[in-house]
Amino acid sequence: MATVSRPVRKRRRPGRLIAEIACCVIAALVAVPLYWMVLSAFKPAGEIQSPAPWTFAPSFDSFERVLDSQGFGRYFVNSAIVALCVVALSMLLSFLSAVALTRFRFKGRTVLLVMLLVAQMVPVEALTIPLFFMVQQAGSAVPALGLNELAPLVLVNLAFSLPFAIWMLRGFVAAVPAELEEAAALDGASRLRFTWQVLFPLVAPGLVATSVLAFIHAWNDFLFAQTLIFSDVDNRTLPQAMRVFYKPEELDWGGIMAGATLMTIPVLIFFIFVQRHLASGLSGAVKG
Amino acid sequence: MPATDSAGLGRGRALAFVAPALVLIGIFLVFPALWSIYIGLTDYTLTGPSSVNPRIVGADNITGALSDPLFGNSLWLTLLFVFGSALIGQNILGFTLAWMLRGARRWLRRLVEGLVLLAWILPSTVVAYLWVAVLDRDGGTLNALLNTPGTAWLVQYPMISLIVFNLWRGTAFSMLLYSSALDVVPPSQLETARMVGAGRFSTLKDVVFPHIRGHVLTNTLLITLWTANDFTPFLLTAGGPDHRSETLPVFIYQQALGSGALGYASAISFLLLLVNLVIALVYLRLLRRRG
Repeated sequence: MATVSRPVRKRRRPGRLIAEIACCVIAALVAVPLYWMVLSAFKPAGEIQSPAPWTFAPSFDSFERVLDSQGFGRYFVNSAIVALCVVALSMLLSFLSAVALTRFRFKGRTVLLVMLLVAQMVPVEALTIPLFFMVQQAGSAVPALGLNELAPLVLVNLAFSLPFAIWMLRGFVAAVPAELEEAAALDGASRLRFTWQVLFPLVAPGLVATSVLAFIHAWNDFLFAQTLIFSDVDNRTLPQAMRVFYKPEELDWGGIMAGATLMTIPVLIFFIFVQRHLASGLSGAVKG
Repeated sequence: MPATDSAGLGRGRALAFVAPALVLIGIFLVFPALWSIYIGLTDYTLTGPSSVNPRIVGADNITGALSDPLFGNSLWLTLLFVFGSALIGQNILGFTLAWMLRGARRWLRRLVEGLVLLAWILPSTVVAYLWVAVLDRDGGTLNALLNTPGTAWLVQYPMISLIVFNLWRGTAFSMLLYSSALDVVPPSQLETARMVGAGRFSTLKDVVFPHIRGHVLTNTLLITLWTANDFTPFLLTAGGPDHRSETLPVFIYQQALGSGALGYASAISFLLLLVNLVIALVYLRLLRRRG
């Protein structure tokens, strides 16, 4: 193998080198704001205003300030609860729906699929008004589903992540040959056993991509959180807390960037965990 | 009916599988959407007499919007934003990156993909702060890099800043999609194109594009819709200065919660939904012509 591939590699065209240099430049441009965030978080208080792109005295002061004084930990836990609930429920529900919508043809199926596409287009800003009143009403019947609670936030984020998730997963389920199911049926495997033991693993890359998007949406959501958790300080989520740091008169950039860095870490962990599957997941969604 | 039910799922089980998702979507998405269309037909406001007793005003909000210069302004800015940052920007940059990375060294490919993806998945509140810091008038990184002290980018060039920002943030999706689409193009055809001396443009147009047409359309549709509905500009400029970066989602939010004109805001979001629908119909049309 090595003898075959070596001459090919030597024949790199000059255009390739230019392309690679261009890629490096783009990578650098993309990295600047991200580098700046981490750098500012570690800069000691005196250096924050300086434009120097390095620091010789990195400190954890900003992180400590954020973690101690602002109840950051609590908001962090709130956001994590909401995001993880949304991810788990959205994986389960979108998988079941995608199986049913792909494998079972019924009247109005196309209409339903187009509706899921249309759901992508609803401008969410306007929905905050009815949602506010709905949750307010629900709260007077069942307090846990009312305003300033996390449960309705989970349900709303879930409902908004489902259409795209189902739409994506459909392609994956469709890619599993129906013969496989017939064979399993002949072997006497039960419906549910087939779904979980054969179909589920085959659709897993799609589920991974779906879960990333659901996680990002829920973890990043600002609008719904701001609408539904409008007065209870304890139940705020991180994106709301980030807005609290932003006081025009006393911009604490060190604190803001430390908070931003902390908020980034879970996304990063989640991302590293699934990066390999993300590309195949997204492309599978489009082929369907 | 075995013909309609390849997996032998059974009507009952199929319904049970799909019901929870549909119920949730129905309650939290469809119902509020219909409600907001209804609110759009009234003169409902956050405060004042109309907050207690809203009147049905029919299409008054729509006609009002169509003659409102602020609405026209924000429709234009939205088109600019979508056209500049998504339709042209993310599409072309995403494809170029995917194309260039195809033959690049593996570590370089990983690095670029990782960074671009990172920009995409970071919380919007976080990236908004990053960009406010980078573009800051005093002590901003960009001014230090370009040696242009005192330039308030978000104030002097709000739309260009937003477009560049969205390009930075959103290219990842197009890049990912196009890199996997390019895997579909048979290398032998590219080789043949090179042998017969086809130029780069005609290779792309005649060899690559027919294979990835579906991907291009789907990608364009999704990034168009996402960009048109993107709320992040609010976190960067809040529509200012003087409405110069007030895209429709920001305009809707400002009308609803800034001015308290809930009826008017709902009517405008209905208009935005219609625009989105037209885009989606055009897309479905183009996609169907594929076969």
